[in-house]
Amino acid sequence: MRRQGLLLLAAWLGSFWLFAQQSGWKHALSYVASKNQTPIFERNTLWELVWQHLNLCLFSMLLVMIIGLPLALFVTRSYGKPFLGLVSNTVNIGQIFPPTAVLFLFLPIFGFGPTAAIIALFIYGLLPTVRGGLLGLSTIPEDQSNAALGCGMNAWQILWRLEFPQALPSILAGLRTSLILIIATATVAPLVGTGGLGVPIIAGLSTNNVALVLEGALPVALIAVLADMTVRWLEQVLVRWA
Amino acid sequence: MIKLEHVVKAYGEQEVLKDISFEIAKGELVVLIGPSGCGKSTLLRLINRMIELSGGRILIKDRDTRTLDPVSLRLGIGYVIQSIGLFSHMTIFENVEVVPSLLQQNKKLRRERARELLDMMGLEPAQYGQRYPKELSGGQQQRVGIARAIAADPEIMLMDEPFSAVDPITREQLQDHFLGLKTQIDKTIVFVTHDVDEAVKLGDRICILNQGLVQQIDSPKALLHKPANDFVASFLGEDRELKRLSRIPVTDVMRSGAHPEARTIEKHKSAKDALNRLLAGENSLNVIDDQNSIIGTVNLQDLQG
Amino acid sequence: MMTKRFDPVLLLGAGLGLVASLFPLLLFKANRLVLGDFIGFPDLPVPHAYLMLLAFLALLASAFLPKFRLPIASSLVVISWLLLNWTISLTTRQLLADAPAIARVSFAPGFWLALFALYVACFALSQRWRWAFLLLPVAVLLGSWLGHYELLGPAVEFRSVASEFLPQTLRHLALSLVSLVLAALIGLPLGILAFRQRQFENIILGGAGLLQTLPSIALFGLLLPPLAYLGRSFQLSQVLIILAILILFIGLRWVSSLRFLGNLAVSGTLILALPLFGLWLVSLLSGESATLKSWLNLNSSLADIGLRGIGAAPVLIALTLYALLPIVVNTHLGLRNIPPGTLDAATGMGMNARQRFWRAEFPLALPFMMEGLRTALVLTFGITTVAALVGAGGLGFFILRGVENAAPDLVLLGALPIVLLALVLDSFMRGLSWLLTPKGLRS
Ligand SMILES: Nc1ncnc2c1ncn2[C@@H]1O[C@H](COP(=O)(O)OP(=O)(O)OP(=O)(O)O)[C@@H](O)[C@H]1O
Ligand SMILES: [Mg+2]
Repeated sequence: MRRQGLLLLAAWLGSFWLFAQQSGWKHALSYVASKNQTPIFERNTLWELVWQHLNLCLFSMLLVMIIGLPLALFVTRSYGKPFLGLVSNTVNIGQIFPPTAVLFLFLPIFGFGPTAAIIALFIYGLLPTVRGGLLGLSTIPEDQSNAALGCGMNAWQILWRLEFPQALPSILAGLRTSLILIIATATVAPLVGTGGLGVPIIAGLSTNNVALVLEGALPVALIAVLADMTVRWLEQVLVRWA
Repeated sequence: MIKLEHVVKAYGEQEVLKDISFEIAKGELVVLIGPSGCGKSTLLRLINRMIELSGGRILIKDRDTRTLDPVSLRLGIGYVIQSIGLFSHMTIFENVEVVPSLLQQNKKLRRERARELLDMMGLEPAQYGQRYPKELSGGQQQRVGIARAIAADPEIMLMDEPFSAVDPITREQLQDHFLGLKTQIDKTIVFVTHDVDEAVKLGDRICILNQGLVQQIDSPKALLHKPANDFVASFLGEDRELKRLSRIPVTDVMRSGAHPEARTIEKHKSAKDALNRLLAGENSLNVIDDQNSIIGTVNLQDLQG
Repeated sequence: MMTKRFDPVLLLGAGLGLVASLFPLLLFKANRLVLGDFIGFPDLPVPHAYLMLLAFLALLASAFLPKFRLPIASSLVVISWLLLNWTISLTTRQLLADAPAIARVSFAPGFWLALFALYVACFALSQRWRWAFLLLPVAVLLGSWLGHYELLGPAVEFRSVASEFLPQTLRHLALSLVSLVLAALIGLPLGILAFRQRQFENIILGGAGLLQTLPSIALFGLLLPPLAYLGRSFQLSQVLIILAILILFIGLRWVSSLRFLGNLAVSGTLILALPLFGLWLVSLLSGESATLKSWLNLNSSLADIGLRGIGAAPVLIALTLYALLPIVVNTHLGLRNIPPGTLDAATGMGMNARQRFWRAEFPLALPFMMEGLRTALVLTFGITTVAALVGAGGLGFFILRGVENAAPDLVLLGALPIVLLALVLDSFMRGLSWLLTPKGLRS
């Protein structure tokens, strides 16, 4: 598991090194570009595009965690119980909404620009995380919560020593789904007025320029796969007991 | 130590416990027994306030439990739950150390204590300490559950069918082990079972519950000899005299003297063991002590008295 | 059951409604280039806006009613929605009365918040009365019937694209349904294979999982170069010849020593034939007569029959790949969940392997397979939204055009039907899988 972690770290560092090789990309992509087309996106370097993309995703993800986990916690406490049905129902219906459609639903409300994109990414990313949190926190084995109570744990100790660790696998699975969805949906977000790796893809698709499309598609695919593997690795490390 | 006064517990309309009063002395082991669903677990959970009383009161060391903070009350009472309930995300060590860690005891000391307890329960700490519960058998898990309840050295222990999830042979081993343990640790214990043999074997006194009422509470011998009513008699079974013999040491029924040519039986065996061998064809048995010297003799007539 | 002192969820709904009616309800734009003015409470026509506010206040109060809470609150939900509509249509008419023809009035955040508020309120009521969730659609329909929605932005935009609306919707459905069919044809056998042959389990499940992490337009992009190359370089006749040879080779499956080659030929045939079949089906369903005609001409290139770097081909392939994961995983899960005793019993009764599969395994795993197909359909239907980016059409077409023309109302015209249709398809598939579940297993 340690070795897997080191490999992942190396893969991340390697990818970032790769993203920094602007002239290398230009050279490589010029093989697929047709003669009179630019082989590489010129307004931003690839490095900048990657950072824009990651910023967008990580900021929305941060919001998802800050709002989503406390929300799941709130509705599974005794004082939040009345709202449990509402939240789980909304989350279940919301998951049927296609993420890209949601992205564009927020466009008329917040107008073009990063705000609409971040809010849409955040709201859609919220769904899997809240769902995972609800699932984990509401399926604590009854014998264990009885034992915790019988041991003399107070509500706070039960939360930290029993419920949170027991819910961790579902929470992490939810976060992973959210992250992957956000990374993928953020690729379409340039249509709503943001930067990121979707910019060259969309530009390339509309001008029939394969090189530009690949300049965006390859890095974003790499980032998505690495992010997925990283969270999976985290799940293994943190949940040794399952 | 524990005093129940007119305890009532109702779930909605249904009165599970109607009027329960008895007292448990310090260092005593009282067994609660009765048919499934008669409210044994409910009574235990009333004592450590996992659930609240509907009427009456419970005193622990002469203080009404309702005036005590439930969390600190439970910290001082060891509780072995019916379904074991080991924390599946914690190692065996961490499970045993839960209550000491809640009491913020020193880390080294509590690991030391956990090792000691696992050893006492017959689990090799070096081998099992770092495992997770799912890597243990049912019987091993029950032992860890007991170790967890004793870990902070509570004065009172509530044990809800602690030996239920194992086969008869392991169960017997655990019971023997527990009897040995009981002499080492001086605790007031409320023990729930629905196995009459187990009750007779372990209890200082047995309390028979049915229909929300105490049917009889007495020492095993007295209970088996003089059941208070038909329910108790039929609950204890037709073979209750046999069961009674199992609580009588063979030294209590032997005569002085020795029988030539008779085989021998160790002095810590029960009268029931002696009866078994006599029925198998021996005329009489000589009782021997640890040094193998004969201290008495027993035959079938002796057992009828 | 006793009525609780107050209903916190209803309270939340009514509270959100109050907040919503104080937020801007509409956005007025004199033309497409200006930012536009938000029209909120102070600018609304006088008695109506106050009545609307009053209705939401009454709804708030009704959360505390000890008696008749349900009927009163239910009527208040409908009433407040109708008042909101009345206010909106009056305001719209006033705004547009002396404005140029290109002026637009669209919904602003307050409107959407009010819609959400009523959803919350309806949810609260549906806890006590099962049909309360119908209140919302009833109110919305009543509102649009009574109000003057035809003046609002989305309606105006709809009229300008009305002739394209149905074809694009059908195109959207065709793309997602055809890829679902392709994914089912590949995914169901793969799921069974993953269950039967342990050595493939990890490869199949892991591979399908990996595909799912790739962002959809990235996958479109990655498919673009190879598909463009194939379309340009091959002719229909060549492909048909290869197919014919492969089909001949399938016979090798019955020669035991060459079985592997035979299986390879089967996979090759499927890999080649399925996408072509999908392409044909899509052009058939969306009525592209020119493309359909090229099928009859053996000399037409693959590009002529639709296999290009852009258009339906990359979308079909990408969607099929995405839809594989839920189908494979659920099929595998369904088969694994069958109690071993059931299968032993089936064998004991004297069924052979084939009978056992069709009479025991398949019906028992069917609910899971249907769950996989449902998830897959919702997924493909959603991803088809970005198909317009590679020129494959679908409802995303309106979104894209709205984005290009900076017309949010047009975007809405694409996004809203997608969401609604996704909900409809989801309930349809749920109903279907309920019908297909063996009676004894229904919950
Ligand atoms: N939370 C509850 N709500 C309603 N009824 C309950 C609840 N807990 C227990 N009961 C009822 O109280 C009665 C006593 O339950 P209890 O668990 O104390 O039985 P028990 O004697 O421990 O049985 P067993 O030997 O099967 O463990 C049962 O009839 C049970 O159905
Ligand atoms: Mg019980």
